[in-house]
Amino acid sequence: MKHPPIAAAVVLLCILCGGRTRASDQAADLNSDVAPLLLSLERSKFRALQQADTAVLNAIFDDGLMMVDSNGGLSAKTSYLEAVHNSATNSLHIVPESMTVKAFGGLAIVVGIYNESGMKAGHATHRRYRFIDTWQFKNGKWVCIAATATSTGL
Amino acid sequence: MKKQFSLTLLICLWSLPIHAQSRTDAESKVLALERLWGQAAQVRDIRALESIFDDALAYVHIDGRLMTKEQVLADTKSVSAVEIVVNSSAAHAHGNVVIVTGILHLKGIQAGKPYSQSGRYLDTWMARGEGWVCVSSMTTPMKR
Repeated sequence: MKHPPIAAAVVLLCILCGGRTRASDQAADLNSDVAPLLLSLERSKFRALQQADTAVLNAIFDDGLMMVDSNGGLSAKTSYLEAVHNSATNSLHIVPESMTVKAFGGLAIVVGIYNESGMKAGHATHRRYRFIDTWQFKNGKWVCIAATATSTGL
Repeated sequence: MKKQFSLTLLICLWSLPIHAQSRTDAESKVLALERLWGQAAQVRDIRALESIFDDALAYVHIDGRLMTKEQVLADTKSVSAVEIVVNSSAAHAHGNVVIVTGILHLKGIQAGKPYSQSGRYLDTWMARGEGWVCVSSMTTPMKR
């Protein structure tokens, strides 16, 4: 656990902001409150990716996560966290550029663009990616159950 | 017309009440809707596609374009014939949400030239009323 205070803060954020509602009968409240929370969780996710902080990512991702990376590869949570742990992403800046939340009661979609820049395999790189993350209100907190990204070509 | 009617009828049948569905039932129904989606796209059955997509659909095309439901339907109407082959599709249910992943191969003609593309898609389906609707879809080109 590289950053235990951050991981604890993310878990606390999930529980505090999620735990005060019951998914089915307070869907309207979920919809009105969910955007700032999910945007905050997304920013935590990008920070954790950059820092290869698998403890934070472990709290954000559901155990049943399905992940399609920008090369079209498919990963489950365990293999994805292993890949993050073994990668040198901390030499990259991974920053969200824009994000939009679409809420559907206990389900929400975040659509956005993020930038990745820095050194990769000895070369300067700058890539822009479009992503869609799927979040679900589960066991009293919001977790990311699916994530997919693709290059914008820019 | 007959083909379009059949597709629409099949979608209605596969969208029967979700109450008391087991996880496998939900996954099977959504996978069936995915197959119908592919068929409807090939024959450009806009009516069938309208019932598959939620109005708030977020769709990212294999070329990276972010599109709304209306834009996807308009795009489907305007493109020339395309052959769609889907394989390795799998569904994973989370209560009233189902995530589907798979690989699709597209073949068609664009600007008079044949093209072929493969991509991995990830679709999110949500139980809505008496059936299921797709709320997001992204296809990522597969690096060869």
